[in-house]
Order: sequence, then structure tokens, then C-alpha cells
Amino acid sequence: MSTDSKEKVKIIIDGKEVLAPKGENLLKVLLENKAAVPHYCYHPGLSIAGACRMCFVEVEGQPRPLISCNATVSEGMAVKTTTEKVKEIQKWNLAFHLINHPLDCPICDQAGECGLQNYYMKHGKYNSDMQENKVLKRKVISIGDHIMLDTERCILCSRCVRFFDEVPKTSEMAIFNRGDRSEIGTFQDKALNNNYTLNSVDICPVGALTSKDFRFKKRVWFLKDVDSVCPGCSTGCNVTVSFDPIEKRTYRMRPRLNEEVNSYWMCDYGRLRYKQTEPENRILAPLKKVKGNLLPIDWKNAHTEWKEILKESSELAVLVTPQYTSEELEAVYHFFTQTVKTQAIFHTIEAQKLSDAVIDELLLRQDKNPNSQGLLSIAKKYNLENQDLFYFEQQLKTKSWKTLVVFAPQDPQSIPNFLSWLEKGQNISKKILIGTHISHATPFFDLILPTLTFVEKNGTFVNFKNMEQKINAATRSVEEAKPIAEVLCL
Amino acid sequence: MSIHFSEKALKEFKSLELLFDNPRSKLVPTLYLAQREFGHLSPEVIEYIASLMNLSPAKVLEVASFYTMLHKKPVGKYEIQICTNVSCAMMKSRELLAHVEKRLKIRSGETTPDKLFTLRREECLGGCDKAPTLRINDTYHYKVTPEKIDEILSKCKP
Amino acid sequence: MTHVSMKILFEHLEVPQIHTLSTYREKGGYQALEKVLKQMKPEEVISVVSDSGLRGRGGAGFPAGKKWSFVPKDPLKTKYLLCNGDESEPGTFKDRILMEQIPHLVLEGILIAAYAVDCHKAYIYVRGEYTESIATLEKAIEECHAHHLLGEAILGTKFNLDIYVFRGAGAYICGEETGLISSLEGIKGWPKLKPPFPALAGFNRQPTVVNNVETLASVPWIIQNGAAAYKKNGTEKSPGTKLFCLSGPVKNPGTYELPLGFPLKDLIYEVGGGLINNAKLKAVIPGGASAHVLTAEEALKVNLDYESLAAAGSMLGSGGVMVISESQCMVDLLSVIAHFFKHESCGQCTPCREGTGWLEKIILSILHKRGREEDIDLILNITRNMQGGRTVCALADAAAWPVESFVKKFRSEFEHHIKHKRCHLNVH
Repeated sequence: MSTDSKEKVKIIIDGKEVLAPKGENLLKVLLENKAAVPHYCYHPGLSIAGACRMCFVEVEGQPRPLISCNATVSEGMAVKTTTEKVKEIQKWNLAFHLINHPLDCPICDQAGECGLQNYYMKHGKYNSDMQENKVLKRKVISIGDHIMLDTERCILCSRCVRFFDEVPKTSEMAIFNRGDRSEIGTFQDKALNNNYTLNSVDICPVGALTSKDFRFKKRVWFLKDVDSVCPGCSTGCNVTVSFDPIEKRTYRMRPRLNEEVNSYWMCDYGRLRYKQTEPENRILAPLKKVKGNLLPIDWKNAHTEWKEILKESSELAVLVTPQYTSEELEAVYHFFTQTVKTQAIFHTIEAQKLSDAVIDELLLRQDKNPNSQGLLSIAKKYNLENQDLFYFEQQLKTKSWKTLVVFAPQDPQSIPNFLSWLEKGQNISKKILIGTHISHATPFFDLILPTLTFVEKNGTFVNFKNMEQKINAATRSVEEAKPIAEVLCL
Repeated sequence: MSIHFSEKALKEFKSLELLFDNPRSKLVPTLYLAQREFGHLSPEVIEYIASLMNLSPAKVLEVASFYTMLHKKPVGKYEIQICTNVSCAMMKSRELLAHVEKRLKIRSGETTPDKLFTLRREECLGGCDKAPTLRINDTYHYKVTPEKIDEILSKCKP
Repeated sequence: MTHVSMKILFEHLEVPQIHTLSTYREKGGYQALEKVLKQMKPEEVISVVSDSGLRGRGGAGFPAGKKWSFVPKDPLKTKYLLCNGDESEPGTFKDRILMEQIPHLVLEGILIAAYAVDCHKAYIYVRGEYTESIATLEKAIEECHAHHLLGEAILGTKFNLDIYVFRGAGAYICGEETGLISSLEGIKGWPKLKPPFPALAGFNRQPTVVNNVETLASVPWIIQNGAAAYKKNGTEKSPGTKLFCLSGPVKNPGTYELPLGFPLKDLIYEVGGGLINNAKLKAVIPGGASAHVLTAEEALKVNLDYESLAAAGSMLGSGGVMVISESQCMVDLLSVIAHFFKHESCGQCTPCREGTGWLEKIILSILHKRGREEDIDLILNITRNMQGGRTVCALADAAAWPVESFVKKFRSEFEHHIKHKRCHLNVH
């Protein structure tokens, strides 16, 4: 049930009156109202555990403080989140969390965004009384392609355990043993085997679960974040892209809450799509074929070439993939229909792949393009929506196109056999590729013009259920790559 | 899978069905059954039980590892559990434990190399009025002195 | 003995073969059940038990009738009755006697309670070590089925009930009612968050009553003799009798049924015959290892009922009375208790999981001559921050209370160990 449909009642948070849905989780409401109540085990996307005991508040009329994650909103409730009693509880609970923690922050990837560090500065700041030997547990355990486990850093909040129980429903993690010997893990350190493992790293409030991809790569405080959308499939999971503005490099991508699309989660496949934006394997400069070899040229020459080709070309066909923003696609369709005056614009959308069904535990869709719906609606506007790849290949047999312009996939892994038919199209004399990546097909082209990946531009992707979602530019990893408008010389 | 329940055990496993409204409630009784069948709950046994009960092996091990009477490691023919809690401690049970450790040349939690004895320091066994109390397998022994335990142990044959 | 008291639970304890159905019935067994099934409505049963003032005998002391009255009357809901025989509180061995020697009394109590709350499936959760209790109960259940006391149409009425015995597997926390429910559900014995309370959403998320063995075993007598007769025993606020488990270095350790309000001094010196070798009394743990320890002086003044022990800063708890003689080093004994709670903490809540281990380590370091002066205050700080609703269940409180009271009441012994790096009694 969405909270909007619930009756709103007045409650008082630290003396301030606010409206909150009756029966709603109290901690959720407190956090939404900017009360900085510390918590580890509570996660809005998971069931309530009530184990970390950090989120105590005082509620008027209640004999003693209670954990807000297991309380619900009721009319007139007066909540105090910063009383001396509450502060004392928070400080001691933090101390309990830390006594057996290894305090290896200098080599911990979580440093800078760690719940223990943050709350220590806010609620702790005591001198440690722990003089005894710590409980030692197992460290550096690989549990799958993407995840490294350190059970000593773990504070046993059970978020990861609940995540695998409740979200991909694989129940692969558990807490073994009991008391202060409790340890999280998989059965016999077996590899996690589902497409959602990296979410456990996001929700781990400490450095117990780290991403092998991100491990030891970057201190988080050097990173900046922008909101974006995953380009991995037609679901369009909302994400945060983290990049180093000085290095101009993207380091990770994490899910961003959107209840209607991906909730708090995203798949491992999608999450690692950011790696396609790295300069390795990218087209770093315009390339021109000279005596069978592709050689870098500058943009001035590239544009001269481009204009020559367009001028000469009476028989020109265009092939577009749905991996460009709606703004880019609109520019493409407009440019070729109005300026170049060709109707031979084809797209690669396979209608049968547009089904709603996911192909993994949760979010990944068969259509590995972020903007199929955007492309379709633009093509429709130009009455070209039926010109798909199948039709193109048919036409190829009869039409005598002289020039082919291809807007290549920005993620070469998404369409592995793309352009495998190129060798057959020998009657086309000029082939131009506009795209981001070097691929097996690159050598077949005469002119190659580099453009921007999803982390380098602003724009719109339309997901499988026709939701328009914005992507935002983070950083330019390839200096010579240009926006489509500039590539086309609009 | 290379291990499986005997027909008799499988029948017993199926009969557990009638006891509970929720199939998962069978887990602890099934682990006991497996322990009786296989001696201890090796990873292989855990995986077998998981497949029988349609649970992930992680969840089965989570339960098995929580309870002290479910053995994850092999246990000797005679499992000696000596209570060292308050009343027994006051009645010299820790001295008794030390005596048995010395006699068997193993520490609490260990098994003799001949796999005859496993020794455990236990918490209250509910025999406080006849302290010190110990159990050998499922039999209670009360007011146990070093002499008495020597006599009992000498009767434990392979 | 100066105190002559009525036997309610142990009335027929000494009767040979009382564990068999025929002997139990010869002694009037199952007449209360018959009365209930044929003459009383469920709510009448609840009101008699409420009127009797019977409180939970497992440790928490919650009024039994009240607990039953919380169960929703909705006939469409499955309700469960769980009899808690996971007796694991150190110093407690009373439920075992009931289960092993008078199993039909326990079953009759379960039958009556089940009728009162409209339950048709009950479980007896017995601690794993009590294999004899399990065997005896299972035998008794079998006898009941053969004589229309269990199963369909009990005693020719419309009431149906099945009782199953569930064997625990070695975890103190499963004696906590929601830990017990978790264990029964095939998950590890982690206590559950409250709310919801078991009476509304317990076993399998259905309305559930969890009652201790002794509590249920008291019910048949109350039904047969009435609430007023029951209240003639004990004190006004703590009516009835209770089983007390006397252990430690006393001459006559054992389980005794005594009226509530019985003087602890008389339990030790008259019933128990005093300490072995007439040693001097140093302290008493009056209600299982969880209870605050009493000094000899406190112990000799206090009566064994809920209110008196609470007023003395301790609790009646499970009725496990552990006597400590003057030759006992309190640092050493506390290390035993601290080890127990560390061993048994389920690990769910941080203050308990970490606090129990931390306390044991500090106490061991004092015991092993590594103690620091500031350790005493540190111990008290830790215990203060483990109790008073800081955790899902009361195990953290139970772990903190003995530590706190040992250190406060026998502080000089701890200080001596720290200052002189040796035991004042030279016992270790």
C-alpha cells in the first residue's frame, strides 16, 4: 500500500509538528523529516530486524526509550530523538559495535562512507575502554565474482542476509554460530550466484562486504556523484554515477531509489556497464581509412570528410541503435530526413524482445537497450517505425545504397553480433560509423566519428514502460568525443 | 548426492510432516535424525538436508550451527558433558573436568584420537541438587567424584 | 519442620507408578479436565485461573489467566499452546521432575489450557538434554490417545487436541518464549521483536500462548479446588505454591514445593538442613543465575515471593535457589556466570552479543591478576547499558544483573584481586 493512501496524522518530532501517515514506520518518518536518527540494521527496502539497537528515541508516555524502527506512527505521538538518555544509549551502542571491530579504516574501502566512522564522529567521541583482546574472525573471503567478505568488520546488522532472503530470494547468506562468535557468510564460502550480489555492498553499513570491482581503486572522498539512469537494459534503473573529476574517470555506479522502477536495487550486469565508458576500447579520435588502415585525423578534417560524403551521396542509408538519448535520436532523424533528405533510416529494435518479462531474479530485461521506446516514438513521428533491421537486410539485397551511416551501440557487449552482415554489403562504397567503441566491425568502416557515452552527456531515456528519465553528464573520459549534434555539424 | 537416508529414516522424516502446520518446523527434528543416521552434520549432510527440505544450505547450517547439541564435527563413541555452571562449579565440577582432561589427554571440545571420547564443558544440565552432574551420551551421572568418573570411564569400551 | 504446607504439584509425587495413566487416574487425575470439558465454558476456565492469581513459573511471573485472555476469540484462527519445558536457567531442575515423574499432571494442565484458549495443537518444547522427560511424556501422550484423553472427541466431548513433544537442541535462549517459537519454526532460536506479541502473532504468526511446565501443572488443582482454595496458600499478592530448587553446598539440596512467601532462611536452614560442614553463608542467588545475588544478611531476611524478592532488589525468577558459602570466591563464581551468558547470547542484538563477551573478558582478567582499577566502574557502566529494554529480549538484562550485583555487593573481593593480584581466599 502506498503511503499516500494512508490517513495522515499529526505527530511531534523534537518539538516540531509534522504530518505523517498513520501506522507508518516511525524511523522512516523520522528520517524523512530530517531527524538524524542513527541506524544500521534498518533499511527501508528490507524487513525489520531491530538488532543494532541504534535507533532509540523517547516517546512521550512510554516508560522507557524504544527502537523507532519497530514503532509505528500514531496520532499525537511526541517523539524526542536527542535527549540525554537517547544520546547515552547511542554512545554505548556504538561502543558495543566497535569493541571487536578491527578499526582497519586506513585500508578499508568503506572509509569515508562508513556508518561506524560517521556515527563515531556524531554520537561517539569517547575514549575506548576496551583493553581486552578482540574476537578474531575470518577476513578476505571471496564469495563470488564481485564480492569480498570480511567477517571481522561485520557488525551483524543482517541487512545482506535479509537482502538475499527477500529480494533475489536466493537465501545464500546466513549468520552462523551465535553470540560474539556469530559470523555472516555463504555456505562453505560458496560463490554468490545471482545477478544482484553487489547490492549487498551498497547496503552494508560498514566495510564487511566490498566490491571486487571497486576494492582499493579509489578513496571515496575523491569521488563526485551525479544522478543518472542505467543504460544496461530497457528497465532503466535509476543510478548514481560516481566519478573522479580530476582524473575524469567513472569509478562506480550504484542504484538510486525509484519505487516505480527499481526500488533500491539494480543488477550486477547493469551496474558494471559504467566500465564501457572507460577510455580503454573507446574510439579516442576521428579515424579515416587510408590505404586500408584506419588513421587518426583531427575534427576539422573529419568534418570536411563528413560533408564531402554527404554532398556526394545520393543513395544514403542510416542505421540507428536504441542506445542514444531521445534528444540525440530526434536530431538524427531530423537531420537525415530534413537536411540529407533520405527516408532510408532503419533501426535495430526487435519487436519480440520488447516484452515486459525480466530474464533474471528481478530487473534485467531481454531488451538490452536503454531507449527502445524513445527511438520507436521518434521513428513513429517520422513514419519510419516499421523500418527495422529485418527490413533493412531485405532492402540491402535490392537497393543500391552508396553510403551507410551507422550509429553503433554504445555498449558493444549488448549486441555481440552487431554488423556481422557488413561483409556482405559490398556494394556500399562508403561506410561511416558514429559511436563510442572499437569493435570487431570497426575495420569495415571508412570514417569513424567518436561520440559520447551515457556518463558524458545529458538527455532522456524512455524505459520499457514509457517513463521518460533523465541522464546527467558526469565527466568526459574521452576528450575528442563529441556530442551527436556536433558530430553531425548541425 | 552420495549420501542419503536409509529407508527407515526417510519414513521417519516423512512422518514428521504430520506434526507441523509449517514444513520448516521439521528442520531441527530432521537434523537430529540426520545426526543419528550419519553421526554428525558434515557439509555434505547439510546439503542433503537442504535438498530434502527445499531450503538453502546456508539456512540449514545457520540453524545447525546455532545449537550445541547438533554436531558439526565428528563425535566420539562416548560424549562426556560436564556441567560447570554455578552449583556444579561450587561442588568442584571444574576440578572434575580438569581431571578428565588429564586422564583422556584432550581438552574440552576435543575428541580422543581413538574416537572413543569427546569431552565438553557444559552449561547447567538441570542436575544441580546432585552436583557435580555430567552426562555421558544420554545418561546422567550425579555427585561425580574423580574416583567415580575413573570407574565409569574404565567401563566405556570401544 | 515448622512449616506445614499443602502440596499442590507434588501431592502425589511419592505415589509409586504415578507416571502411569491408571495410577494418575486412581488419584483423581483428569477429573479437572472432565469438569472443564463437561461443565465449564472456556471463559469460565480463564476466569478461575485469573482469580487464583497464578503467575508464570518460568521466571517472568506474568499472570497466567491474563495471558490466556489476550488470545483473540476468533474461531477461524488457528491457536497454539506451547508448553515451555526448555528448563535451562542455571540452578533450576523442577520442570524436569514434573515431566519425568508426573507427566500426566503436565498433560492435564495443557489440555485445560488448550480448551480455555480454543487450541487444538499443542507442543511441549523440552530441552534436548532431558531425554528421559521426552520419553516419559511421549509414553504418557500415547496412553492418553488410547484412552480418549487426546485426539478427537476427548472424553466424549467435542473437544479435540493433539500434543507433540519437540526436542530442543541446546540453546538457553529457546526458553525465552519468542526464541522458543523461532526454534519451533525451524529457524535459529532468535527471539522476535515485540510487538507483535505471541498472543496475537506467535507460532506461525498465529495467536500463541507459551506457558511454563510448572504453571500448567498447577492448573488442574486450581480447577478442582477453586481459586479461593489456591489463594489460601502463599501471600496475598503471590498466591499459591511454588517449586524451589535448592542447590549448592547445603545438606539437603533438592526440589521443594513451598507456599510463596516462605522465608528463604527457612528453606536453607530448615528444609535444606543448613550448609555442609555448617559453613557460614556468604550469599544466595534466589531465582536462577539471572537473579541479582543477595548477601547473607539480605537472604536471611527475605521471603520467597514475587514482591518480597523484588523489594530486596532481586527476583523470584525460576525458583532456582543457589546457596554460596563463605569459602567461595565471588570473582571466580561470577566468571562462571559471565561465561554462561556469553555462551548463550544468541548474537542478535549488539549490546548483548558484545556486552556479554566483554564482561566475561574483564572478569577473567581480574580473576587472572590482570585487572585494572578502572575495571570495576567499567563493568558497572557496561551492565547499566545492557539492561532496561536495550535488547529484543531480556537475556542482556539477565546477563547484566548478576554481574552488577556481584560487583556492587562484593566489591571488596574484586578490589582485592585487582590491588593484590591474588585471591583473598587463596582458592585459585
